[in-house]
Amino acid sequence: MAAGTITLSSKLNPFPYSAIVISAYTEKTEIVYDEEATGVTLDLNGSKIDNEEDIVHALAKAGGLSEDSASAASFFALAKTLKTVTAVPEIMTALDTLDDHLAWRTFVVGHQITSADWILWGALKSSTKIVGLLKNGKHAHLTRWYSHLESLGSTQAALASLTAAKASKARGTKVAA
Amino acid sequence: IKDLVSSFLNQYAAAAGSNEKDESEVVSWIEKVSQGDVVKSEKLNDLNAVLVPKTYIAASYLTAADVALYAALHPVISKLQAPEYHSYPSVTRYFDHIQSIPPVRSIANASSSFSVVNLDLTNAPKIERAADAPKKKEK
Repeated sequence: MAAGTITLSSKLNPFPYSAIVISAYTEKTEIVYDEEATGVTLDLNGSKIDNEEDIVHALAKAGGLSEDSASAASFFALAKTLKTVTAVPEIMTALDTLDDHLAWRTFVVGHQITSADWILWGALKSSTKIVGLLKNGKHAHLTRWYSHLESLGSTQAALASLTAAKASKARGTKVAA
Repeated sequence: IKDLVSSFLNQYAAAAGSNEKDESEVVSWIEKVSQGDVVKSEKLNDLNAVLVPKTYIAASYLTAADVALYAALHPVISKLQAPEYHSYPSVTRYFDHIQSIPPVRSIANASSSFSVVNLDLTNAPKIERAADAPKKKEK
């Protein structure tokens, strides 16, 4: 049973991928595409949150993912940085750091998927530049992690809902995810 | 190993693979692992290369093949010193992940020969990457 909704437009740019993939993963919220929306809003148990980072924290909590360790905070900060840097050398430095980290670890923090995985995955996914750089094949470990999260059924469902919303011109279309 | 694999198959629904293709991958990996070659120390480099793009060995989720490989690796990995396992990053990452998954942990704990192997990841070396190709074409 959905305990809330995430409302957003499929046209947002950068697109808040972290919000929809963690929504699908934790199964606590329904994704509603409203093409009039100017941002992303989580409506959960009566409270509204419209900052993607806070949405990811709130859904992780609702979904029982472990989080809030000091190291998770550093990855949230890195995700934020990745959303603003545009210079290729800076991006490459960040990708090298992540690749070194994920060479030894299946997930970003601990041994299970946490909010830190989803905030970073969304940050990478929303940047066509980063997705393009990953295809160069220099970051095999980061790519392994990225592809694994992408291959999950919940991620596929979230991405399919986005594709469907983009295809549909109707406003306020509801797409199950 | 056989005991661990069969008790895992009994307890964990998706362990045999959730479709035919995965099932046959699981079977073939269990076979390969049980022949023993895969985990020989001189073969760890090959196994490392196989594991680079993979989170789990046979499918995109945990299967009995992972339990088999974990169990076969256990006596090998538990004898290695940090500089040795640090030369196989993907094997190290894989082993540490599989041994930490709760359903694997619980059947491993039930047997006396599969204690947790503490791997030092904090001091792991940085990964070597190929140098930039001469042509600069980034978009």
